[in-house]
Amino acid sequence: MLTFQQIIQNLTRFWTDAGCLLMQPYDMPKGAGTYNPATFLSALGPEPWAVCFVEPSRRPRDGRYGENPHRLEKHFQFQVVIKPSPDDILDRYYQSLSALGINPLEHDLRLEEDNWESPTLGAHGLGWQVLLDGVEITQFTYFQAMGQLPCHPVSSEITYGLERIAMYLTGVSSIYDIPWNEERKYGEVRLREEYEHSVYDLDEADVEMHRRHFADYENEARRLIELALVGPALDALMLAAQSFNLLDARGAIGVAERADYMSRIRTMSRKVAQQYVELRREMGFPLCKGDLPEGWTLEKPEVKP
Amino acid sequence: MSARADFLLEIGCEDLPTAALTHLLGSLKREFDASMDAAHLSATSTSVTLGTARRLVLVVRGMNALSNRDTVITYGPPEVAGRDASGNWTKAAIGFAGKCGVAPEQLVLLDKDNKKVWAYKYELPAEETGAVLSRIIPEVLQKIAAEYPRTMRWGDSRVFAFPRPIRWITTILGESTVEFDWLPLKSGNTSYGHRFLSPAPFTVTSVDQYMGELKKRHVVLDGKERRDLIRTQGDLLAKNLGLSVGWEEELLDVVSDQVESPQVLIGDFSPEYATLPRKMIEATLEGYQKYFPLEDKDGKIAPHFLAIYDSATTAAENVRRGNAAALASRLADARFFFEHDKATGLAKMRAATAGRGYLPGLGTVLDKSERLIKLSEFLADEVEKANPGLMVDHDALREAAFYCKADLESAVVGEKEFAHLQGEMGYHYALAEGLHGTSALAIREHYAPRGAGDPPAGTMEGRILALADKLDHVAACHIIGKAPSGGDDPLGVRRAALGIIVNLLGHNLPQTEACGVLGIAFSLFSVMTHAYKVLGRNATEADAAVSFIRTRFVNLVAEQTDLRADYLRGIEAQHGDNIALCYQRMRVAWEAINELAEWQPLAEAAKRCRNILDAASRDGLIIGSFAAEHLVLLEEKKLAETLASVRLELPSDDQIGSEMGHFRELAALRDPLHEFFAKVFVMDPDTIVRDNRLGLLNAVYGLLSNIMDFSKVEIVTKDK
Repeated sequence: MLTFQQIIQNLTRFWTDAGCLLMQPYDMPKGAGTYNPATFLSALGPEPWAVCFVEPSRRPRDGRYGENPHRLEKHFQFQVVIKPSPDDILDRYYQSLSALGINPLEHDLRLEEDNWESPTLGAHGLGWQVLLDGVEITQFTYFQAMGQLPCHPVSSEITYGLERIAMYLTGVSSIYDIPWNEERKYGEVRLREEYEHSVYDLDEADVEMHRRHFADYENEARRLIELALVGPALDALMLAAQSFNLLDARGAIGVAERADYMSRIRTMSRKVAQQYVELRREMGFPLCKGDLPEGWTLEKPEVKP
Repeated sequence: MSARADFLLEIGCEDLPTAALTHLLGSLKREFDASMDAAHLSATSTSVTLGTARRLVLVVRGMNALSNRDTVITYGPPEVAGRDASGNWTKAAIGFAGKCGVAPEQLVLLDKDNKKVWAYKYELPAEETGAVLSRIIPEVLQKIAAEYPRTMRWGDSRVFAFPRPIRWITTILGESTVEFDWLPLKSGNTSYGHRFLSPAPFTVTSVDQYMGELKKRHVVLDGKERRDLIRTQGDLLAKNLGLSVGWEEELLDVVSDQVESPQVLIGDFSPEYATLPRKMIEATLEGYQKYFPLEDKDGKIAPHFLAIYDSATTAAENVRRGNAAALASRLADARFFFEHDKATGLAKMRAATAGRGYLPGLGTVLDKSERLIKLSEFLADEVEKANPGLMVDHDALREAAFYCKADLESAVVGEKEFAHLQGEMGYHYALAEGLHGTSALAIREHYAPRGAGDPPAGTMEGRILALADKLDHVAACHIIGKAPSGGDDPLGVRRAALGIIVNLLGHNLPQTEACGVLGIAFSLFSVMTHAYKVLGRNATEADAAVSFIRTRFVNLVAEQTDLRADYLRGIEAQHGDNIALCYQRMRVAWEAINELAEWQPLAEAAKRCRNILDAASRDGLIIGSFAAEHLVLLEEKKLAETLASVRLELPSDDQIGSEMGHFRELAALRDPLHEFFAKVFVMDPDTIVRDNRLGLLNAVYGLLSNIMDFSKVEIVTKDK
């Protein structure tokens, strides 16, 4: 029986053997691995890319003070992004499950339509949720747009829900009973952290401070985009988005206001995305090694007045 | 020898959603048939499309080896426009010839519509069917892709889009592959069986061999067959346990399209969850997990579920365990939300609706429920007035109106998969708090009818609250200028208007008895002006909302019955303010009209009266009464006499049934009216005679218009 960390190790081994770069989690709080520059930025532009990494993902609204056996404020995703999406990507995904000891002939593996959309990232994609015997274990997406720019070539994104997989494979009925390794359970490692962050997210986060932070980081992102400092601008965007998520979890945002906040984050995403592509263009799209896919040039496109 | 061959096209895809599969199988057949026709291909039988999530298949049996020869003619400019005076080709002729890809000398003169025109005529040669197919298939695929609203790109192709990635294209015509490129894809003769049960590729050598291989390789290609297999297996499993399956047709479509080799199993959930409201259990099974619920012999929901899987039967134990675990966590969530809501209580939830906007500028949902208390009270009084002896439970109604929107703030209704349980959850919370059963029912029923074709609320209090809810919504949407004009109806105003009609008349008009289901007979105008008053608006603004409902009413009667639409509009224009009574009048009028042969001519004569009167009014003439001494001609005297003999009071509301006799009396006016119009010139130069004739027509029309507004009647042209 695989432990939580063995699942991570096996997936890492499988995908690095398949040619993916191994990245580490990005050091900023975020709602999903899609915000990681290794996903958000790398899905843009013509340059080929293949990467895998674990991403801790914070969902302030999902905090349950460590009392709910199925929901977490922070969970871990294993993220695989490959551009362009390989023709055999589904076969490879199923092989990766074999690396976790899941033999498709002993289970029901179902691809259920699930079209992904992130209104804050101005992103959307088509794909599925993968059900293993009725349990959702993976989100599989072909990115169609990111930062409101069409994705071409298209990236495939595979997001494994590590706790879900571990719960299923170990047969435990609470996340906190997942064996992290042979000795420690998930609850022993993380329960207190879940409790504290739930209290913070749902009850204690300083609403006025986060409103200020949102505005400050929005301004900072704007300024950094002007300076063509794409990475720091994306950092500022992530911090603003996290403040928004906290305000949302605190119930401090009305319906109309919510739409406004989301549109402001989307605007930042679009500008970061545009700036990133232009920056890489100026650099000559180096990862293409001179072989640009159809439809891309090194000429700066004319900007319409 | 005319060789015939069977043709197969298989498009291998990554898993297509059900909606895409259904759509593509339809459009593939349609576009392929059209292209076959256009390319002069023929076969002994028409094309058939079948498929699973992983493949779209088109089969044509007995294709002719060659396309049909044909003469193709393209017509151009008229003879005179083809050459100028000196016999040179004109610009028009050169241009036309250029479009056809030939020199003007190749044009010929042909007859078209009895005129000579220049034309290009050529013989389309017969072509090898395979060659034609390899040309048309990419076009067909392009078309069906373009028709589907939600396509995607994949890999590094910029132009290529389809609902899900295409992984292979297989063709066979007779025993050979039809080769074509649809970049970056290329047709071949390799196909695949079930993804896991038979992963090795195989070579396709003929249509029959392909069909045989698929069967061996665990693929049930026909969607209907998969559905039937699931149903038969499921019913059998259930029967062995003394249970029956709650098949939900739409869900059955979805799950049978998700699998290539359908297997069925029954699993369990802990009986402790059987205490949850049944609709919550069903929504958890169906909405979240795509399982089917099971019932025991007493019709009670059983602590079991039926699930579909797509694997080896040896996987059943794992699948059952996983499915049960997934369901257990969903049910635990559901129970958590339900218990949480009961602990919160309706009062707190209701207070929270103060934070939920209703419509822009019209306050919150809490404001709305305050209005519903007032409006339903008014409606209850109206109902009691119209139905002596009938008692509405005013206390229960007030309580229901007070709490009816509270569950919108419950944790359960806040979940996407349970959102449709609004009202239903309020009912359970009301019962849990010991509210009056009548109140609880009215809370549940005030959303009725829930969908098209659904019944009205079952209780009197429920109907009144449902009416109040919808009257307020129609009024509110008119006030903020959001009444739908085109096709879109994002706020559901049409649905609300329909809900009003259904709660008054029932959902099956041909079966509606006197005065509709409620026995409510009240004026729409009066209740709508009250709704406006409760909204703090001027009652005079209510007209638009009233006529909106009345229009929906006529349309609905026209849709659901065989009553003639122009008569319906005429009766509605005259009597539509009270739609329950108006509907009775429509029924009686229809019966009478069917019985009386002279009715249509009389209706047309009445329309003529109305036109003459309208024209006279427009010209500024004052129309008064008529006097016998000013009647000049025989025909007008005769009309006046008949009028005197049929003059009857319009039956009062409770005597609508006797209107039949009234119709028969009025029918006597037909011949005198026709004689009148044949012989009498109304607009006589003598103004006294003229005004007297207008007065006579006015009196006649005044009587006839008790039936309907005849300006709405359409003149039926007799066949020549």
